Amino acid sequence: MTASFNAIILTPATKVSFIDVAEVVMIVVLVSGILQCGIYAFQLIVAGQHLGRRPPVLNGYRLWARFAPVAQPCTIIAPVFNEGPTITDSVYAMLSQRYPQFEIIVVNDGSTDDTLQRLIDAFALEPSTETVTGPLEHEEIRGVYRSTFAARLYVIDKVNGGKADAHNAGINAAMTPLCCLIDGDSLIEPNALLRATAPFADDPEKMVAVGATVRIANGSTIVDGEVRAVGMPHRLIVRFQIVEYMRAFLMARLAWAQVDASPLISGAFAIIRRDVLLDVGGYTRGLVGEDLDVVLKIHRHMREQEREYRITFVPEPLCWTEVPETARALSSQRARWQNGALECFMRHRRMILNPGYGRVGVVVFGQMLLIDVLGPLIEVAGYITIPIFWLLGVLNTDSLLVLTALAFAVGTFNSIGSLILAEMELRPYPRKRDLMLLGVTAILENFGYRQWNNLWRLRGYVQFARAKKDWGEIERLGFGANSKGLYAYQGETA
Amino acid sequence: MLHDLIRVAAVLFLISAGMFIALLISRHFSDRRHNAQKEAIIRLREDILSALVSQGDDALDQTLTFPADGPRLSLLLDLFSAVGGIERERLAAACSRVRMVESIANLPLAREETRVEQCELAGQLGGPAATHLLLRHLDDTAWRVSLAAGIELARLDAMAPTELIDRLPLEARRSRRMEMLLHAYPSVEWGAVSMLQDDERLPPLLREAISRFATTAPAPQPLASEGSPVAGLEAAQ
Repeated sequence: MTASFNAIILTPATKVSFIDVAEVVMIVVLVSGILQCGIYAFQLIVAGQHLGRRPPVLNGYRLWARFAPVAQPCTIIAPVFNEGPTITDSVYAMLSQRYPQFEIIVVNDGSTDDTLQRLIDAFALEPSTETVTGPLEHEEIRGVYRSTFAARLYVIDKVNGGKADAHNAGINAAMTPLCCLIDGDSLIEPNALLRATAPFADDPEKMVAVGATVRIANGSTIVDGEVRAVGMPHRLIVRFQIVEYMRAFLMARLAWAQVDASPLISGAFAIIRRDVLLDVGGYTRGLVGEDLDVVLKIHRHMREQEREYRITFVPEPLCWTEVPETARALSSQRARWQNGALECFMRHRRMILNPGYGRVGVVVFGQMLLIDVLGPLIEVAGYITIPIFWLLGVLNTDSLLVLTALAFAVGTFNSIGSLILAEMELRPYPRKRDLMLLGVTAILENFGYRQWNNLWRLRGYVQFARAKKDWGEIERLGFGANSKGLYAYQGETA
Repeated sequence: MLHDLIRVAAVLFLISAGMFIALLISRHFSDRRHNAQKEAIIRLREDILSALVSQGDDALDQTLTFPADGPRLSLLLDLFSAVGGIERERLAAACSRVRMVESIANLPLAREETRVEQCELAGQLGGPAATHLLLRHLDDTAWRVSLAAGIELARLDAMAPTELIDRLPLEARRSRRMEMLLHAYPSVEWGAVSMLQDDERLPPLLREAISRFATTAPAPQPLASEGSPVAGLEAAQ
């Protein structure tokens, strides 16, 4: 059939041009693939070296003895929008922090469900006469509440303005030197603040922001805001995301932090100095990728001010989050992440490969360009054109097999590598069976999931072109409960 | 070339599969070791304590003959820390501190964290041998070890603050834990230290801390903050 098709539509001249195009596509796909492989290999080596050299994780008492006396006051800021099913668990997790001086500000960003009422009921909130003042812009505050039994807890109820807007209201209200910015649906570990603020104690002059590993809570047993038993989720789509998160956090983020080129701190858990947040004008309102944008703004500001600074990453998992369990919700999330990445890339385009911004311009934006901006386009172009060229006879079977085999082999190698890193140092899943399942998942994700993921990300290009700012709604299960809720913030960008 | 690339892909697949199988096998054995170690640690704590309490110094070398980076130093440190208050008393009554420090000092310690623990333990034990050990660690190549040694030397009041600060590497001096070092001194002539607040070689944060200490009594103080933790929430009236 192919031969007859060729005979009908391909004149010798068009066939030559098809061969040329096929060669160009092959070269682009190969070069892009080789560069990406180089980046992943670099990440794997650097992350492995760091994990191998890092000191053992301190136990609670030793950690407290060493860092609590010099821990700076910190405010946990959690913007929430329609987080009814998970909000009380999340706030319990925040209240159970073992940290000398901390406050919690939950910013209810105009929820249309019962989030505020649940907070009022669970924590006996009462209206307060306090008002929020500060330099950052945000929507109108409707009221401030204080808990009658948990003195650390404040709830700010405001008109809906988006996650960045809610963050800004929280940053204005907090006056501690450090702000811990988390998602409303994040569950933080009891020692999270102490562990994550240790780098600020080690290098208080230069350290401006710290991120940490975020783990997936689906499948684990959660009681009163605490992960009691780590379990493997049943759904394959969630397991794929576990492998992705391991690769993103323990490989990519850790490696970039080691070379002072962190492009992103997850919106699910970030500790940033408040003075730096104010210097950069807080979070940019109306953006989809506000967590990426704020880190890029910090890089840009510090470089332009010629200030020495560090943004680092703590490999210990300090935060848990729920991820989408359906393909529909996941596709929406991935499209949004892609939209956010493109948005930030274009907003800060003057830094792209600009040596004036040092490693940030060259390394951070270089890898963003290759992996986040061009990567999905090239991969999808490869998925479409290479089989077509093969069907048309302009690409031989050997070439097709080579490209396919290399893509799958490199993908599998990276996933297994990050799994080994996680296992060697953090042992994320206690059962051997879970480890085996993850290994199988790491292989399987190359056969379908990865390709679908890139297609979902293409929707992000469309959203970006249309300047779509909608967060969408994602259906998911509440922590440790069977209740179902809707939430709009899934700010994790793995 | 195509065949070479196919070979590369095949090798990558094989390496991945090999690594994963190796991981599963190592997990199998490490699970057993891990479980055994957990039980052993519980027993070890009792064993160390009872051996030291019953045999005193004679048991020291025996109980401390172990892979130095293993759990025993941490256990011993726990016994001597505030957590093990009762054990600490029993140990102190049974063993001479000098011999304990000597035993600990002779351990070959490879990991940075273990050397930090060694400093903390020496600081708990005190005495000339501990001071000697800490002075040795003050010049450690890892700044965290130097800082830990510095804090313990301050706790033992074994070196004047000016001299101690001068000896520490820059990374240690930049750390906020320097405040712990200043707090650790049981008594010190702060007037003499105040000259350091104008020392341009010192990081600004440390100078600020010294300035606070020099003008007030050396009692523990709350850390500097920008007001009350939620000062942005101002009373409307």
